[in-house]
Amino acid sequence: MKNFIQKIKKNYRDHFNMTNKPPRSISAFMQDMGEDEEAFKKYYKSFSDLDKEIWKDIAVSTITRVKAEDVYIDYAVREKMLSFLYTLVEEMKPYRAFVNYQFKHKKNGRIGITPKFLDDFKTEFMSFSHEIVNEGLDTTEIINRPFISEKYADALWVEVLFLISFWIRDNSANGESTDAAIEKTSNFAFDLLGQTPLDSAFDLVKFLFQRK
Amino acid sequence: MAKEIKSQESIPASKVQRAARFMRTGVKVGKNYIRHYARNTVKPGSGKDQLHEENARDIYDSLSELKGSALKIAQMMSMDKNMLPAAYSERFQMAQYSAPPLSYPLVVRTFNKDLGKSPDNLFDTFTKNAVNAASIGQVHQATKDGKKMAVKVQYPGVAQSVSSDLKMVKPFAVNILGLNDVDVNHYMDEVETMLLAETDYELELKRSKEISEATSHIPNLRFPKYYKDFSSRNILTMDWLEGAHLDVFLKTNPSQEIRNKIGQAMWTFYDYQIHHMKAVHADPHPGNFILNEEGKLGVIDFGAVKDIPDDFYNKYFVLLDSSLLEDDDKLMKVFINLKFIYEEDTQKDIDEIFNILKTMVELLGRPFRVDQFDFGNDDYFKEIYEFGEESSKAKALKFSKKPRGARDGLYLNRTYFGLYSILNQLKANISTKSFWHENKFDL
Repeated sequence: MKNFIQKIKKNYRDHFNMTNKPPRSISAFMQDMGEDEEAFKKYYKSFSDLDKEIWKDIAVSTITRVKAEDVYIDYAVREKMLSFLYTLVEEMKPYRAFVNYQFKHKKNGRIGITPKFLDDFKTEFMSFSHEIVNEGLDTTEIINRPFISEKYADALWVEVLFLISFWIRDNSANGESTDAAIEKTSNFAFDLLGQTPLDSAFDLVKFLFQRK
Repeated sequence: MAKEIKSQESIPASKVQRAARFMRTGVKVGKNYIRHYARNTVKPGSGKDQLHEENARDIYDSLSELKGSALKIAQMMSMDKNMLPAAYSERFQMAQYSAPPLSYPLVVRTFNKDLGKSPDNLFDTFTKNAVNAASIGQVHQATKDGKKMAVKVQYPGVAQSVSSDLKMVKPFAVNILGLNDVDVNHYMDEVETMLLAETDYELELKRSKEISEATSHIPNLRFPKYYKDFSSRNILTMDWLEGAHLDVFLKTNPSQEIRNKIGQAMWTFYDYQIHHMKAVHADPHPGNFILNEEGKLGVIDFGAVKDIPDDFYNKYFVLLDSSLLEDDDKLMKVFINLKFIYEEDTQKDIDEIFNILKTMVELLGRPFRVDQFDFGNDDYFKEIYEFGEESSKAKALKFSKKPRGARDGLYLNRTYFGLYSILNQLKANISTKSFWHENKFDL
């Protein structure tokens, strides 16, 4: 069974890589594989289901790979996030045409709004994201702020969305611009999550206000 | 996780953001000028030095937030005492040791991309944090089979940003530093070519081999061995040289004998390259050298290489012939040859430029006209700085619509300024015998 699913996914990906678009229909796609629509329907209701699962696979294998590195436990959370992003780019590479197509044809054009096909990918990422945010709070690499802290993990998700869109548009040799973008956005994000001048400013204002 | 070198709050990402950064500098420098003039009306004569100092600080602060080529340009300008008032260049020299670090995951990624293996797999040990920042990358320390190595890793996208950074620096250099447009163009082309060459570590590896073989006979000079298997376009692995950079080394109060030894090695190294090999490597800025208490000079950067074309060599270095200083007609011919002076210039301009150039030739050639020269003599350097300030005010040069001096000349000037400045800091008293005497010149 597993092999069959793998085969569907591989053929689906290859189709994108060769034609830059999805197959015309499930039946046409299955026919090329020498199978019928029924076989497909046993596992997925539609191509969108398959899309979601492929994305989920990308997230799962990225996180597995990142955590398998020996250095991972020694990393600060900033580096854990960086490592996730660099690995994500690697994992997306074989799916370039697929990712391109999905992002160009998503319904919601705005950055920060999660397209449907990323639902499961997001679930996987969010559990990773919460994990590193909590670790960062423990090590004080990330500062606990009332009300805002709960949104930290979501902020990192916005970074991921931004970087996927960036990667799609990146034509630089070896994707060097994406590497630079990953470095810069992560530094920016984690500098904001860590102690900033605003915290001491807020503290000062609060102090002065209370003394009135 | 204590970070040795703290990351900056943000690194300006896009070209627009970086341009904004430069504009901010422009505004700030403008403000300093206003302050200067305000101060001058209240208290005339409060020196321009303070203004330079303030401007230099603002410019430096802005530039230090930019990685890569902009930082490199700051360094290069800092070398060219000729181009910048002393206050600017002192400030810029600080740029040579500070740049924010690359994250370790990015280092791992660069290794995986270029060499197919992570640093942990390639080496026995590898430091996660950079031990040193280079202008277009950073240095990690590694060990392999008991050998200590230095591994330079380049910032991603440095090569691509060279041209756009230079385009941004240009108006900045023209307007704020008050340099003349033609000179800057002239200079920028040269800088661009060199910067691009510097971003290619494979090229650097090849050159380091050539030059270290060619100069291996010079005493007290040492070079790291480079490891091809652990190097790529973005990664360069070499032996770790024990010792310190110039500033740290000087704090250990080395004896005069040791300082002379190092100074002599430095002089001979450059002299041999320029006057014998006719190709000069490694712009002499302090970050490129590792000095040790035995008096050995380690050369660790082979990024910049400049070939000196024969016809240019002959036209230019004929200036070291001391008989020229007694024969103004001949000297004028040489200047015209070098396009320092054009025959169609007005007599007033010709006179002004001629006098400046003659002073320059006398000043810079002075070490060549004696057998032994004491670079520790600060009076000599004061004369050079004063001359630099003076010539930067000269109207004929400042408002010149024509480039003065061939591009190659700019580069060689910088090399000599850099060399002299290091020898001065070393307070080295050395033999200035030169391979120049090997060459024949027609007058």
